[in-house]
Amino acid sequence: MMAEIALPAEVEWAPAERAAFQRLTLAWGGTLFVLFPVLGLLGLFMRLSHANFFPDLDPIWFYAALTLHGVGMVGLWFITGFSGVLYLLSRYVRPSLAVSRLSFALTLFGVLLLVIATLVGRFAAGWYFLYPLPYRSGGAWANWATDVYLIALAILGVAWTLWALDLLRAIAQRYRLSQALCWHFLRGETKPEVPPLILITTVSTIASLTGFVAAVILLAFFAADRFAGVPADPLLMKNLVFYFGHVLVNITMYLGVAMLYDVLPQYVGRPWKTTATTAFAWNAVLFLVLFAYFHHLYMDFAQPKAFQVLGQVASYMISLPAAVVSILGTLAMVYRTKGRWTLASSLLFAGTMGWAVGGVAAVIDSTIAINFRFHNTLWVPAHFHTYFLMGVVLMIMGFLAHLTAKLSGREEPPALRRTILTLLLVGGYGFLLMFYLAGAHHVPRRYAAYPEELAQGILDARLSLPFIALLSIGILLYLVEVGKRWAVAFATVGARSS
Amino acid sequence: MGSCLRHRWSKVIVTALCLLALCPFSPAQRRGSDENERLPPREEEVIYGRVPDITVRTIVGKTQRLSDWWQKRPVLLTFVFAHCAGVCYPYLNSLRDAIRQVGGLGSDYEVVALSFAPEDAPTELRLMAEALRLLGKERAYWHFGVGEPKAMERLGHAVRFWYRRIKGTNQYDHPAMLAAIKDGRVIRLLVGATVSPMRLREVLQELKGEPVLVYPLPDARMPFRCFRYDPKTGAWRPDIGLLALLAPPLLTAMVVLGLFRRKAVQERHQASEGRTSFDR
Repeated sequence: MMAEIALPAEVEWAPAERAAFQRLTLAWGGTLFVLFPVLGLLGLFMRLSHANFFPDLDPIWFYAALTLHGVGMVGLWFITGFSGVLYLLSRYVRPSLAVSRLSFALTLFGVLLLVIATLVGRFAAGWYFLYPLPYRSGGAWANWATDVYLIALAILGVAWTLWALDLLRAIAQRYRLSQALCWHFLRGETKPEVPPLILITTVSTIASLTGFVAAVILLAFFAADRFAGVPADPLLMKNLVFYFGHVLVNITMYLGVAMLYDVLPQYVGRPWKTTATTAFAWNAVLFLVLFAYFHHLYMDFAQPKAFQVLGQVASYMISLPAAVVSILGTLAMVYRTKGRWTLASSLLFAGTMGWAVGGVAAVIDSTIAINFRFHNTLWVPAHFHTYFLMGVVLMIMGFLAHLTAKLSGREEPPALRRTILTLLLVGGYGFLLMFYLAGAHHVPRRYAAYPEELAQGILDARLSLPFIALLSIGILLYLVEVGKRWAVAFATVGARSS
Repeated sequence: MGSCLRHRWSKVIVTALCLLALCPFSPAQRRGSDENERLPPREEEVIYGRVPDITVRTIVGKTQRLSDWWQKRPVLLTFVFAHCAGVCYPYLNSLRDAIRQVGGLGSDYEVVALSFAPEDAPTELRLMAEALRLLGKERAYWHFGVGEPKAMERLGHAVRFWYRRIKGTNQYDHPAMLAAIKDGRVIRLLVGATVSPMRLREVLQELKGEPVLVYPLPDARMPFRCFRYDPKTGAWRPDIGLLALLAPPLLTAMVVLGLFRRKAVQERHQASEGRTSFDR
């Protein structure tokens, strides 16, 4: 059914062990069927609020929804991306099932706490919880809600750090660091052969660890303020928030790209091998991802200019190696190839192209002179929704379609595939277009509702609703189709593992 | 004996539980949960909120609405009472001096001082205005007046102004405050017994729609600062907090090198074992 691609020697798993690993990957993927619709509905609620559907609603609900939608979506796609990559990597290395199970349990608990903090405690400081707002809400929410939110982040941080450390341990059992990072390719050597998946995952996991360490320091400062009354430097806190947040979002995208490198070749029948260019690109990413986040602080006048310039340079340069290499590589791979275009391969391809579109918008936004005009407008949600929703989300949806098709032995009818893709792309890009237009009209972001002076924001939000409806139907059809396969796969694999 | 011990242990446990229960009451939480009504008004609770357009009787014999003023230009609204033996007079003097220093009265804004005391009449407030010794030009843009008690109550609520009569006296306990109002909405609150010209300048900048660069100046209790920033010159130099930004890559590098070192050691070990067997 799938093209056989020559790969380095694979790791041997006992059948029951392999089935248990597949079942756990499906369980991680299963969170998507619950959380994606719920978090998506929160997004719809926010756009309805912009469209003036709830003029009398307390704005705190908008901000609570904004917080949960933001943190939830980033977390959801990170975990589904990471678990998917872990599954793909299990061909080459041996990650621990126990650690993955522990991470899964801790993640579910962390998500529960996030829901309590935002929907019960009405914590509404945004996913970025900029200091000192969380503990100085002016009565908008109680301090316990902030406690619960930060504890949830700490739990998720522990879960994902363990996960990342275990993955690096597994890679380290087979490869030296210089091999995993493919430095020998830079010297012109091609042996030992290292799949791009190993390279991208090593880069992403190391980068994500730096983000988690930044989060630990951030939480320690919050605790010092909360329990000892020691104030923190707001600028330092903002740097740490975006160090952690930006890295996490970037890494999630790279996890999607890792899937692309590994899965797409199976549909087009061409291997995607590591080359010196690929090695250089991803090693550059490892370095540049640490500095790109400075573009989030262009508005902070106390941040030294050198950092701001570094932010712009790093943001420009980071898009060149990984994005250009991967996007051109994808185009080269499918060019004049009789690929098998299923829901999985189509979504992976569409996601890569969406990443390119969102990347261009991101580069525009990371230009200091332009950012001064666009920073507080809906242009910003426009660009990050492009590379997220139309980029990594489609890639991971593609992977899940691939996994469930492989494990259940079922595929979607071509008509349904075309319908889903059309709805996702027309609905998705239409929804984004309204965000971009609103940004161009200087409609501000982070407003719960628009006053008369900003009636353009209400109009743009209303125009986006039909597109959101198409997008929602597309997502729903995808969830029903892939959900059916998921249920078959889960039962089949469950029987094998027991 | 046993009962006495049990009793003592129960005391210890109860004391420990009480201490544990007290632990969460950190400074930050106390600040957040204290609902004492006599706290100074909090700007964040009223910012951008609408102000009721009440009717005012002025000391020059006119009856007009607040909107008659704010439709022309922004308004600095303050609350006083005529027989005040406390903060009102020094506060108005301080406001007058700050305005003279900062400028813009009449061109950028006007001042409205309303009496919140139900017993005050415009004639009594006129004495208060005269005591302020305003210059001829200034008098046209300083407005003193009284409102109906219920309307004043609504207005006070909109800007979180409160007052309490002190028993057995003709005096009131109340905060000294200034609300900057533009197009009927609260843009800023300044609370405190004196008006700092620097703060007033910021308020006027906001009323004009100019950006105000707000950054809390680090104090001595802030042990980790990113940079030492001088707001006057804009110069900065790195501080110890910057290490917190270097920590994530450095700590990660140590962990990663530690994880991968095992593989290198293992390979060296295998290589040396190979040589040994060959030699044998």
